[in-house]
Amino acid sequence: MTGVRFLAAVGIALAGVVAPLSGQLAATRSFEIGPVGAVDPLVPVDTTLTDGPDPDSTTATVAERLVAGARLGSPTTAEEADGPAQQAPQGFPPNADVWGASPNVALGIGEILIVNVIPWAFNEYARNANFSQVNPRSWYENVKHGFTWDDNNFSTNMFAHPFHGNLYYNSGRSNGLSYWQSVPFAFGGSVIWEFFGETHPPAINDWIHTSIGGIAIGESLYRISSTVLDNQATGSERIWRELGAAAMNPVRAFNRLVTGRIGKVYDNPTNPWDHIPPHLSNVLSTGVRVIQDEGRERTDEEGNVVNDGAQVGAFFEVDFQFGGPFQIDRKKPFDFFVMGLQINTKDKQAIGRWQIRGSLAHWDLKRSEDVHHRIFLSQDYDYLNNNAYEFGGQSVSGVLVSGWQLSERWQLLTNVNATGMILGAVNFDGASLQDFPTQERLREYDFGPGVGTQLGGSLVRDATRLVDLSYRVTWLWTVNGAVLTTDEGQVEDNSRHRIQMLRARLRVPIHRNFHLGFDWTGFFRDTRFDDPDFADDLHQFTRELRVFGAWSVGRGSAER
Amino acid sequence: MKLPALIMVGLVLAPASAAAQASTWGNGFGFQWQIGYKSVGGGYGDLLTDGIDADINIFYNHNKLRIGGGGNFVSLNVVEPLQDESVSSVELHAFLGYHFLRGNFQPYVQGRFNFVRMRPEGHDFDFDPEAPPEDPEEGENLADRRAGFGGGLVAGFEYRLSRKIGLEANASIDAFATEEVDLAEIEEPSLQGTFTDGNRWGFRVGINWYP
Repeated sequence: MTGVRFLAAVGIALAGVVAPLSGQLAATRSFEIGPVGAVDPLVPVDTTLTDGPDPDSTTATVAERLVAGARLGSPTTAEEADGPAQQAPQGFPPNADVWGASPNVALGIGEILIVNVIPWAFNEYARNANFSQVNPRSWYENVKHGFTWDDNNFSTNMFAHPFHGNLYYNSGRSNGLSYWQSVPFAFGGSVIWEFFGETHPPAINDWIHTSIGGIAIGESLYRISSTVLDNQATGSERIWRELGAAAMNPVRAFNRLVTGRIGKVYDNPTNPWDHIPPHLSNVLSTGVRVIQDEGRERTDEEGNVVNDGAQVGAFFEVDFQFGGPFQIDRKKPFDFFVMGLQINTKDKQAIGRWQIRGSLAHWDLKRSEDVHHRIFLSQDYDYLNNNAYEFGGQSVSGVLVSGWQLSERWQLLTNVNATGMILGAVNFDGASLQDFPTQERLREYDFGPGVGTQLGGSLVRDATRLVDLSYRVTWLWTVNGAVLTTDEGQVEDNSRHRIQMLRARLRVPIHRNFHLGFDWTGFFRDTRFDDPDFADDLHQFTRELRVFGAWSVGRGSAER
Repeated sequence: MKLPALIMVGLVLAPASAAAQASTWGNGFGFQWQIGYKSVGGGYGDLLTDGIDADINIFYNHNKLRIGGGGNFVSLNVVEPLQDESVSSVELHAFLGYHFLRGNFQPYVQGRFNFVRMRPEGHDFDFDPEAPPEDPEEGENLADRRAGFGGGLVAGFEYRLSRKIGLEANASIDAFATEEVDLAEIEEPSLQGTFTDGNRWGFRVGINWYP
């Protein structure tokens, strides 16, 4: 089981970390992580457990309790759920964290500089880029100019930058600092790059997406790498575990190396939520997808039409869940999170989806034998990119997650979200005419803040989600983009985008950890202008059908 | 007469005082940020004038030795009539320094080995703007670049304010040679010829941080 868990975790690292680094920056589709997708906000990805449910565990999930005949509202005290109090491992300074990392702000700042120097050197010497000729003149000009917007690819702005931000974040996080203490590292590292790492004027969209997205990705990868590390392991197992964790979180590996912890045998964290939570699941899916776009024509960077008729391709998907929404009473950020990654073929980008939902805090509304209502505050990261549409952003949501025990075998899980999107982006052809200080390409998407809501529900039988339904709507107010050319020249008007996503999914259990799945997703984008004479309203409708097989890998108890 | 005497006394006593403090400063890594002025002479001096430069380094102190490396960044102005143009000089360097004293006042001399890259920042040096490279990548600089090597000396002092922070001031001189720059394509009669080497002098002030 240890090996399976390790392989699954390494698989996520390879898919989510190594591939992007190797240049397969890319993207595709889906809104899975919507309010009720495979990685729906704060709804378990999958409740099928390889180890089988542990009915006696005080941290069993709702589904586990259901399978075991336990009542939904059986109390789980904070003390039981949290385990022993956090403390530094034996032999480490008292101020060290549970992994033995002493707080070291200076080293973290130094690592931020290194993290910035590496891409600068790559751009300067490998790419011969025109924005890496930094010097005091460019720094002065950037400070004088202040923030603006940029025209980078959607994948660069919404995926590569947040991924890079995760390195800033982990410069603090893996140096003995907490989630909140590491937040300034993400913002600081990004602002240093924006003003001093390139000659282009600093972009506010870069700063927001790199920083906030980097925090979400960074904490997720920190937690996932924790599930792979084992301070008690020796020999080849230790080497492979350290390498696997390094692939997910290279900054953390660097810090373990320079502090001598990478080869040291010492205590693992005593609290499972700092190491391997009682509920941990991966759902690996692969199958065929058919996507069809109506209402508009999309072209790639070479001008080729990419959404001509229905397109058929394969996909591989990983849905990872750390902890469970009803399991944990400890309120540390990302004690519970879900992450979804989808890789597509026959699409303009390989990585079509990367979504993260991480809990920042939670409060119980009702906790009884048959029902459990819990409110979460969550941090959300969305990246959806395919031939038909592009959508993404950084959000904070309030989520009401509920579980009803319908019978001995059946359970209903629902969630209702209210989302505030700090800065989002959605495809819009009119944005290509937007003028930028250092324009090099035609941007194909708008930027803007927004609000939204998500509704979802899952029907669970014997710890397996058989039916999922979800609906998500987001309103974005364009603050940069939506420029059209008229006879009078370039005209900019206030535009509003309404993005709706609807999904239905059916799963049919085949064998214990295997099932067949079918899902249908509809993507609806409506764009309206304040001035009806400015331009006609725009409508886009994309539908996608997927047929797939899925394999669930998980664990239901804290014992290893 | 009093001033030279005081200087002499200081020079005699300073090593003992510095030696007493040296153990408290210790060896270890440090970061360095400096900003200053750099002027160009030699062959390139006919094309480039001067600019504000920045020097960013990481180093390791071992007793009286300092070894390190970093980058030097400067945007050099161009002579008239292209005074609105500028050329970026990005230099990576490694250095070895000797500190005559340890303690709160550390005069030193430093030798540097430089890898220099000169690239025009504007469009006047797009040697063939009508025929850009095929399929230029996003962000690719169409202007030409010239790389080369050089070496130089830095002399200055560090004044340690605390175990963590030190102030530094220095002067520098270096010589460098690059691939040939031929301005024949620029239709400016007063700026013709080829350039392959030059020298630079300058001074900088900055801060050292010992994490």
